[in-house]
Amino acid sequence: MIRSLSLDRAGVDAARYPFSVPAIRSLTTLELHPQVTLLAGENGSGKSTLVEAIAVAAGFNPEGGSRNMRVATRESHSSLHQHLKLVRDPRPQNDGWFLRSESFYNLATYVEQLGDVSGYGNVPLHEQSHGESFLTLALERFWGEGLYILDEPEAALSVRGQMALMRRMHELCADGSQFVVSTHSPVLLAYPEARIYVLGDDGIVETPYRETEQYELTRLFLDDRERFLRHLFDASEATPDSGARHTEQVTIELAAARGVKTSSDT
Amino acid sequence: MASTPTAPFLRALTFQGTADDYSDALPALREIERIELHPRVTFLVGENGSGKSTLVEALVVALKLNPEGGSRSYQLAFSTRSSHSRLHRRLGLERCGLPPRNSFFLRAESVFNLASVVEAEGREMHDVFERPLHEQSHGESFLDVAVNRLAPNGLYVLDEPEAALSLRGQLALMQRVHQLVAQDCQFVIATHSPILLGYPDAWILELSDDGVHRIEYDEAPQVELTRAFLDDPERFFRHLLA
Repeated sequence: MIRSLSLDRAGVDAARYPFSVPAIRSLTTLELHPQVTLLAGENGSGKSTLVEAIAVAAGFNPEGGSRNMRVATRESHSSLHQHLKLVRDPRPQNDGWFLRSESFYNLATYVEQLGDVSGYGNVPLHEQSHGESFLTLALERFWGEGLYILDEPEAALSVRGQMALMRRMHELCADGSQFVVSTHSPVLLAYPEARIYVLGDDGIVETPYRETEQYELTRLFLDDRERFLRHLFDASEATPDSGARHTEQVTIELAAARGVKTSSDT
Repeated sequence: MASTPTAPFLRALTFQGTADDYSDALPALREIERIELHPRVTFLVGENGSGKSTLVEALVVALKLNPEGGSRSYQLAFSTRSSHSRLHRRLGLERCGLPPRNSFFLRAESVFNLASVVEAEGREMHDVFERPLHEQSHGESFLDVAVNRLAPNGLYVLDEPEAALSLRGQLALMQRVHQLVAQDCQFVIATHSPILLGYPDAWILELSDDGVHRIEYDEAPQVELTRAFLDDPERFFRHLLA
């Protein structure tokens, strides 16, 4: 189990990836919640990089899997883990998994190789969707007193599936487990008794649930999507040749959509 | 111009006979005969295990796209899924007009697959991706593919594209879909996301035990549930974690 982590910058070239990513650049010490730490942030904010580094520093192999799996078939994406110092807490750790975001798509094959899995909802595993395979793993292969590091586990899950996952997390935490989870989901982020860190241009900032963009914007969208989308699409029509409309451009329109909403409320 | 292929390319999916595998037992698809598609954007929704992805994969096989993601011209020789079903044996396509100029099947893992193929073949990464992949997040490379490889006059099948994307990423993808719809494209999109589903001028088809039925945005389970959840997460947790 991990109490906190800190970044030792000795010998680090701050201009090099991933140390150049704003969230990592400003990282000194990060206290983890004894049960659930949630990492949020944009695509490219360094979430997955940080999650992988924590996992590797904690003894998992970069490939992902359980802690007993010693076959490393891939290199870590970054050298961040070499500079990460973990402060452990004294709770016993008898189980652990690290799941990379791409592993959620390989789980059926993978869990099948483990054998002895009855299957989520009694459906044979190779007939299960990605989401069901993952729930099977969490229900039948996560045993408690474990360190579970999950990179965007909502990837293949329906909203209902995410709720099933949170129920399982709650059980496992009661059994002395700790989770470190990166997520985009406004549903998973709501997990009570958790600490949320948002990775962004301002570094890594602890943020209350209702102040996260995921919560705020999803509600805004669900409340009045026509207005929200009119804004978004008008903006993209105004600049029809900007094929590569990546997330930075969207920011501006989101601000506008927020403004529209607020002004109509007052 | 008469020779320009324009959407709709697919009017409907039709079903006949049996597939002789597990897909025959999926309640949503068991008695289905015909699924009419929206001329521009059709969403498929349903629980994990409802048969959404199975249907999408069958469509992709019928269209002769690679079921692991990618385009016709970029066949991928390996698999992240042990097998897709044989549902395509039952599936017929009601096509209309000229065939699309371009077609592509995109799912979150396609990006991992594409990256591996490109690496294995020693092809230059910039042929496929705008920036070096190891410096891009999964979501960024996914958007890269959506922006650079989906072209006008195309037919596109997307399977849970939100899996790789942040909220902003999903909005960026919606903008891209909006542009491409204006450029005579047609989309079939399976999704869990209440955001993507909000795309206007689309049909939402729900796969459930009762078959496949068209529903309104506000009736979609992910919309109802997310809305209720965000209105009062504490109430949900009192029940969920009791």
